[in-house]
Amino acid sequence: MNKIMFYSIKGGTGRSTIVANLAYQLYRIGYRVGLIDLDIYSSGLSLFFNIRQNAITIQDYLVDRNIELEEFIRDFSDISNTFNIHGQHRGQLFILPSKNRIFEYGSNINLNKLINLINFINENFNNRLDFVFYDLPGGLTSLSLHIMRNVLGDLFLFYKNNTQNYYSTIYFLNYLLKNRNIINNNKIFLVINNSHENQINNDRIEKINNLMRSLYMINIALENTESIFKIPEISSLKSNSHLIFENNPGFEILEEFKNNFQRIYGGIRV
Amino acid sequence: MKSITFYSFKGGTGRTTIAANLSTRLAIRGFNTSIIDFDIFSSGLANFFPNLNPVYYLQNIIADSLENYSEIAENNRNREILPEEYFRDINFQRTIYDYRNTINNIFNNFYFREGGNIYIIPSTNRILESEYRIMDDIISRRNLIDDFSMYRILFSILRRYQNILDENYKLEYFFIDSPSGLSDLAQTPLSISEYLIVVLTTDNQSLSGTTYFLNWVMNEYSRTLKGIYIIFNMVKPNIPENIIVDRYNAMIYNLRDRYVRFDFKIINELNVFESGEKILKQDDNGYSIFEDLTDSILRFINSD
Repeated sequence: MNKIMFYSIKGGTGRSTIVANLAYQLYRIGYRVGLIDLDIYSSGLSLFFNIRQNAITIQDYLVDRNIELEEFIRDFSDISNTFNIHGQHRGQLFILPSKNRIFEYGSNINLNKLINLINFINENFNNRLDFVFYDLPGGLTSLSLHIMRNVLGDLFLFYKNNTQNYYSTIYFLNYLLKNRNIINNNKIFLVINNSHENQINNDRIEKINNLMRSLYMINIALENTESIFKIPEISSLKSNSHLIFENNPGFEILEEFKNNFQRIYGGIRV
Repeated sequence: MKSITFYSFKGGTGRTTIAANLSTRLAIRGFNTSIIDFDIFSSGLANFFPNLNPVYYLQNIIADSLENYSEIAENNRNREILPEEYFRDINFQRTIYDYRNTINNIFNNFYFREGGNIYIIPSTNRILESEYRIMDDIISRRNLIDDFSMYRILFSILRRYQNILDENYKLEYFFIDSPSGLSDLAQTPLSISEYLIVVLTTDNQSLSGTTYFLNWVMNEYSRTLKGIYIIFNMVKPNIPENIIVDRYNAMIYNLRDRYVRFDFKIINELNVFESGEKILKQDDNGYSIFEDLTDSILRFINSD
């Protein structure tokens, strides 16, 4: 099982859109994918899929003392059947959804329960899933960092080319340099999305890339893989909260993204 | 002094861009204005104001307060610790930056009318070394302090700023750039504001989250809020205006209230105030639309 975290410091980078679509595309060609929406304060991932109205959400689990982990995981919804896909290459798609109604719970969030959940998935789904995708909360919060420390997976860092994103991304990478236990031996990839081609400041990208390389030096060096994904602006995968099917605008770009992704994680076919 | 919170459910809606520009426009028009970057974990406000190089900023105040708090709490386990105690030796005024002269030097066509000024309270600075040290501090302190105390301290900090600005700076408007999402942190600015400006884009994530947020706000704050102004930003040109108007009406249908006023504005993608990290000048694209928006918001918050 490959554990992959999707994270962005600022919002509006198209993170959830890409997570949802990538998961769906991988499922379509036969992978077993689990999606875990940990963006508990402004979740949107469930909107991409038809989730049962009464499904137990991550927030329910985190707040309700009466919901036990085993019970909750049993509800790790297999939404494969909600898609009309035929053929032998069908994989499986599971989701642990969040809902965008959390104010009632506020600071009752039990961090230990969250960590138990992550550990449980690591231990019990290793052979049952090819990929588990964690959609992380945005911002440099202790919650995000805490999740990273416990998931210990690869990190896809979403970046939109503007000053706010630039400074915060540099800031975050510097933080990782000082706290290497957060990423350990895992890889980091930068995804540049929602940026006008002529606005992409190459000096900045270079600086980010240098920082990422200095992180790799103490980690496993990446061979023959691109550490940076650039998504052309014209078909930017912007948040429109629906899946991109064949013939939809942006589908080809998504295919390319998926292919690059497969190149990195190749050979993990069902 | 009127306190106005800027909020968005999702990030990347242009909230900070509008907040930074609006507060500057008001200063230019002769109002004594202030803006605080309360989006402490993904702050961006300082990027809009060139040459703002604060040495002491909101994150320092938070880190110092938490340090004081945990020190006092260690020796006083069984009683409540008051803000006066953990704010001792903390100089809030050092973090309030008078930006009038700086902005006049940078944009020489900015002419502030008599009485106009802008005070900026940044969350971080952009000198990276000190930046992540402070974040480190905050995070490590946070582990020692339970969530409830943490948010109570943050609330007291914001409240203290409000009092200082009101008493010592003779302010007319105090803008708070709130964190996005439905976290406890996002509730703090609401509890001290009279007006709320919500910025959203027209995708489903933004729409459904904002609808939920507004319902919640009206449950909790309908007695203290005077008005909610909703800005649909970055609207694609192919979406007809009446569809947005319908969405707006549906959104506030159940929220109608005797005391809280509602209004809205649609801003087309072509005049997008997407994060350009700059204060718009006369020749810039979107300038006149922004003047309209400023008029409209001023009317809204002054018609009580």
